[in-house]
Amino acid sequence: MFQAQHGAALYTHLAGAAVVSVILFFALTLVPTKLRRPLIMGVTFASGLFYALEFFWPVSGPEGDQNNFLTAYIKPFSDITTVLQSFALGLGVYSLVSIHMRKIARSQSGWAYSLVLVVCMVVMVIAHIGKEYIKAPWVHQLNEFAYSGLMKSLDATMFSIIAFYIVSAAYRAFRIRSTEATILLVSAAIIMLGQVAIGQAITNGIPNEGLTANLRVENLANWILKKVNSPAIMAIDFGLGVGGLATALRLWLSLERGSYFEEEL
Amino acid sequence: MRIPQLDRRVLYMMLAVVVAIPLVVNVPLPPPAITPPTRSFYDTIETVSADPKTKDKLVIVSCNFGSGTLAENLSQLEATLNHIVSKKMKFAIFAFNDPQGRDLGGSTAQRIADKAGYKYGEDWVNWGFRPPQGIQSLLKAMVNDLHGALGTDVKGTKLSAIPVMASYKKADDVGLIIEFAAADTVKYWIQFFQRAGTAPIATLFCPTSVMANEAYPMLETGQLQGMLVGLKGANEFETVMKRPGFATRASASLSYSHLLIIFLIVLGNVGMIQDRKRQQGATK
Repeated sequence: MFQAQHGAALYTHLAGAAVVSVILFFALTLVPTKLRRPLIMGVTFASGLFYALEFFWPVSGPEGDQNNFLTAYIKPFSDITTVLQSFALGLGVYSLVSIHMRKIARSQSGWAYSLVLVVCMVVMVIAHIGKEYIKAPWVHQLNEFAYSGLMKSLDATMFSIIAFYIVSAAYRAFRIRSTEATILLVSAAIIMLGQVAIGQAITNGIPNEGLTANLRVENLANWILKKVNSPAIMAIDFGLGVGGLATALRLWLSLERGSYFEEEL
Repeated sequence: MRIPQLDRRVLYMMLAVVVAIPLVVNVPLPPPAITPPTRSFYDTIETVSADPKTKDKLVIVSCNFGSGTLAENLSQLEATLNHIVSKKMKFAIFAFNDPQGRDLGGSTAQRIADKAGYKYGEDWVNWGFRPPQGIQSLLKAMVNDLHGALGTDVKGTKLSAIPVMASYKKADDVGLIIEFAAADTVKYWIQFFQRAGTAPIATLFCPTSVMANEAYPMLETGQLQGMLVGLKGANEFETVMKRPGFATRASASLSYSHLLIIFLIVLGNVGMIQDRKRQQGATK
């Protein structure tokens, strides 16, 4: 349906797509207020219907290449989704920059943090995208400094801090005040010991065969994870799945109400 | 003896010492027990690489993690890639949840591939990063047309022009999926790709320890064939492979930090019981 273009044809198509998009956006702003909601409902329903029909419609053809008449359109639909997401990304960047630039221009409280955010964003964009296209060594050095030197280390540091909070919480909050808390504590201790070599070493003397193997800490931990944790997770997932299906149907059929769905368009 | 209240800075210092010392000084530790998820992880790669039906198929190495979980996910990735290249399997690096996965996975693969004599484009390829918002439709499109759906590799070369991709065109040409993730992104592979071809594709999962709980049901149902649970899983895998790496060195830090947490829980509870008894004594 949509053929890949190269060279001059690619730029012609890009320009054509941009012109069509601008016209389409302009036309959408002219749609009367009363018609906007039905239009959104119609597009939402058609988009959902495509994937539902493609999934349920009987397939034909040789084994390994069985399709229906909609299968060929999955790729263009995938591309359209990516393009729409790119618009959302652009909108997000515009919104973020405009809010923080306004804050800087008006010297509002915390404007210095906004300045740091905007500068970091610009530097990271120049460095990370620039390294792909610019051969100059300074771009690669900047990327190395900003990405590998700063961002990666800061990201890892932020994540590592959780361990310190866990230690503090273990000492201050993990108390056996009830039967449930005691069961939780004993289970947690077994799982923690079963996860590490030094914990496993405690019961290394017990043979790993026969009935006594069940007393080894790693086997106890595995039993808790498989026979207690798994059914609980499955039950939660089942509930989430049913809830997700209901929410998806409500969105697809435009029945959802509440924030964002009842605002004046 | 009354247990004193420990300041949180003391607790932080205790953890820092317990984590740092084993990384600097070699602390002897017994070898870990190999748990069933790790054993089946290893066995699956062995089986796929030996089976005539799958040994020449592509391995998708999905790197959906950032630097926040490097200690766990990178250790798993290194150990697994070493196993894959030792079996002469062709692989593709891919990322769709965290843009850092493209570079972290790519640079690790490059390092291991160079050591193993693998050539980029002939033995492995980096598909790059795709936005997570459109991943469902992208995976559905990849089922029948890998080249068309993905377009180009990380360097901008069309996949159809890359030699290693010449014989890998759709889901049926994929023999194994391995997901390295800090989140539950493996569900996308299971939902949209794993069983979309003529035969189910073996799928392995390498989550962080905190995410592993949610994946155990998928092991039970057979949707996952194996799993490396965090750093401890990587340590077990290195032990099975007889190839100690970072996970083996760091396992002492992990072991002693777990012991410290259990010790502090006990200490906190003993202190609570003492306070309770003292209060009861005072009221009498």
